[in-house]
Amino acid sequence: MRWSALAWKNLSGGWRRALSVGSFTFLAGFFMVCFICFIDSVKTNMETAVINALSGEIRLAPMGAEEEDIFSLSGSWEDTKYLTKEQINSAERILKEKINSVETVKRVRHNVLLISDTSETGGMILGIEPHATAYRKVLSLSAGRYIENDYEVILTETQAEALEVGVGDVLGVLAQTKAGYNVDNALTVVGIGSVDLLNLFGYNVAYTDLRSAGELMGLAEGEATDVILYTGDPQQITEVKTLLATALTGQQVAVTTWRQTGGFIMGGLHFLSILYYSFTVILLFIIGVLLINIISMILLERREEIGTLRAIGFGRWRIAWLFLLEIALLTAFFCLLGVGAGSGLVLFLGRKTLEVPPPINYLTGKSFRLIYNPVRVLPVIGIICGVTLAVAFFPVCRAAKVKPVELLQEKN
Amino acid sequence: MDIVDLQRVTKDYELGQTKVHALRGIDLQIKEGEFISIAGASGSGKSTLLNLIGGLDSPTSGVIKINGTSINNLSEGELNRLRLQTIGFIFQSFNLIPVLNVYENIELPLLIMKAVSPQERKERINHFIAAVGLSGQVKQKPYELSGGQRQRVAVARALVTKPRIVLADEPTANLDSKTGLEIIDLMHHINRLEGTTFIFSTHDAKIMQRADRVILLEDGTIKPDNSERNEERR
Ligand SMILES: Nc1ncnc2c1ncn2[C@@H]1O[C@H](COP(=O)(O)OP(=O)(O)OP(=O)(O)O)[C@@H](O)[C@H]1O
Ligand SMILES: [Mg+2]
Repeated sequence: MRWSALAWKNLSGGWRRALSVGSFTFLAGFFMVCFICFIDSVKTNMETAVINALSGEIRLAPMGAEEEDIFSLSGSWEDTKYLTKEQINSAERILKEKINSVETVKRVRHNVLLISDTSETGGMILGIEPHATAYRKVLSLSAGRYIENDYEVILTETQAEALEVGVGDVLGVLAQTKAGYNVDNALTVVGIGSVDLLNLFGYNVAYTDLRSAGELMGLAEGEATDVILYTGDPQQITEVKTLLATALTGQQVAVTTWRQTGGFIMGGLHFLSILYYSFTVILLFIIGVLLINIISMILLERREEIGTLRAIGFGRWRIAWLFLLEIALLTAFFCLLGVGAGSGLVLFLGRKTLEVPPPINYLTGKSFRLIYNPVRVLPVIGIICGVTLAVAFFPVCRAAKVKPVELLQEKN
Repeated sequence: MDIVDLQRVTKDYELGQTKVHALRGIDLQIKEGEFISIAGASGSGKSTLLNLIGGLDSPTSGVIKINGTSINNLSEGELNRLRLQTIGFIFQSFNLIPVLNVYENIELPLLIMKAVSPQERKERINHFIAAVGLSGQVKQKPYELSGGQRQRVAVARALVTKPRIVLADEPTANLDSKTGLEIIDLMHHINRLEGTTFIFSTHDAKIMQRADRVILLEDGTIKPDNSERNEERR
C-alpha cells in the first residue's frame, strides 16, 4: 500500500466528508473561472473599443501632447498643439518604409459648439479621414451611415437628442482656430450612434471628417493633431512603437501606445481589475473560513484514528502530511472539476454573441461576447489548491499535535 | 536485564483544584518473554500504568526503563520510534482503521518502517495473518468482522513490527468471555512461540488467571501479597 493509496482509501471510505470539502472547492473553481472570464472579456472588449474608437494602437502626437488624456481635451477651448506638415510627411515616409501597419489615420481633435435651430451643446469632435474603418467596428449606428465625405458628422444619441436633430439635418458648428479667431462651419448629420462600451465613461464624441475639423481648428492642408495606427497584431505594438520613436528622433514627435494615453478609461479598466481581485479575495476568504471549520470538524471525527496512529508510532508530521495529502488530492480533483465546468460554460456561452439586458449591458455593451482565455484560467487551479492547503495546514497540525493518551482516553 | 523496569513511579492528574494520585510509587520489573496481567478495580490505575510503559504519557516522578534505557527524557521523535519498533499496542476497542481491510490494517505500522523491504513486508503480514487465523478474511473490512476477529487483526497489527513488548489495555473488555479467553490464549501462544513480552490489563478473574504473573493494582499501588501468591503458584 502506498501513501497515495491510503489517502485515496480514506477519501473514498469517508466520501460524505470528502464531498463536503470537495463541493466548496468545486464551487470556488467554477465561480472563479466564470468571473475571471467575464471580467477578462469585459476588459478585452473595452480595450478593443478604446483602441478602435479613440486611441489607435500607437499614436503620434506633437511633443508635449503625449501626456494628455485623449479622451477629452482637458477643457481647453483653444488647443494649439498639432503636427506640422513636415512632421506628418516624415512620419508617413517612415511608416511607408518601415512599418507594415493595417491602418493609419490622420486626425484632428478639437473642442466645438454644436448648434441646431433649437439648441446648442459643446463637445469634442474627432475629425478622421473618411477612409478610416477601425472606429466602425465599435461605433454602432442607430441611424444613418459612417463618414464618407467632407462636411459630415456622426452625433451620439445624447447629442442628437439635445440638439433635436436627426439624420439629414444640417448643424452649425462654432470653434476657435489655433490663431484665436472664431470660425463656423456647417455639417450634415449622416449618422447617429455611439460606442456603447464606453458609455460607462460618458464618452460623448462627435465623429466628423478630417477636412471640416481641420478648418475648425484653422489647420492647413496636411496638418493634423495626431496620427494613429493599427499594427493588426497586439504582440507587435511595443516593438513598432520603439521602432517609430527611434526613427522619429529629433522630429519633436511623441510616440505612445494606447496604454499610455487611455486616461481615465484606463482607470476604468484598472477598476475592473480591482473588482476582480476583490471578488477573488472575498470568495477565497469565505471559502477559507468555511473550509477551516469543515476540516476541523472532520479532524474531530477522526481523532480516534489519529490517536491510534500516534500510539502505533506515527509522528505528528507524518500524520499531518497524510491528512494534507488527502486534502490535496481531494482539492485538486474537485477544483479541476469546477474549473472544467466553469470553462465549459464559458466556452459554450462564448460561441455566440449575447444580447445583454440592462443594467449589465452598462458594463458589457449591448451585445457581448465571452472570451475564454486559458492563460487566465489555469492559475485558478493553483490558487484554489494553494489556499485550501494553506487553510488546512493550521487545523491539521493542531489535530496531529494532540497527545495520543488524550485521544485514546476519550473513547473509554 | 529486565525489559521493563519501573522505579518509584508516580503519576498525578490535575483535576481542577484537586490532584488525583493515579499511581503512588510503583516498583515493577518485568523480564523479557513474560506474560503478565495487570489486574485491579476500575480506577486503580491500570491504564495509567500501561500508558506510562508505552511512552504515551510521562510520569510525575520516578524512572521508567525499557530494555535498560530510561525513557523519561526521550524526545517526541525517539518516543515515536520506541513505540514503533519496541512496543506494540492492542486496544480495548480494537481501533482498526475502518476504511482499510485486514491486510492493510496490519500493514499500517510497516508503512513507516523503512528498514522492512516490500518482500519482507508481505511475508510478515501473511505470517501474522496466518498466526491469528484470519487467512480467509484478508480482504474484509473491520465492519465485516466479528469482535473477536477484529481483535485478532489488532493483535497481528501489534506484532507485525516484531516488537519486544506488547501492551494491551483491557483487550477482552469488548468481547464475550469465551472470545476473550480465545484472544488471551492466542496472545499466550504467540508469547511462547516468539518470546514477545505481553502485558495486558483486565478485571476479569478468568482472564487474569491465564497470565504467568498477575500484578494487582489497588488505588495506584501494587498489592504485594497477590503478586507473591501468583509467583508461588507457578
Ligand atoms: N486524564 C485524566 N485526568 C484526570 N484523572 C485521570 C485521568 N486519567 C485517569 N485519571 C484518574 O486516575 C485514576 C486511574 O485511572 P486509570 O484509567 O488508570 O484506571 P483503570 O484502572 O484503567 O480503570 P478502568 O478499569 O476503569 O479502565 C482514576 O482515578 C482516574 O479517574
Ligand atoms: Mg483503564
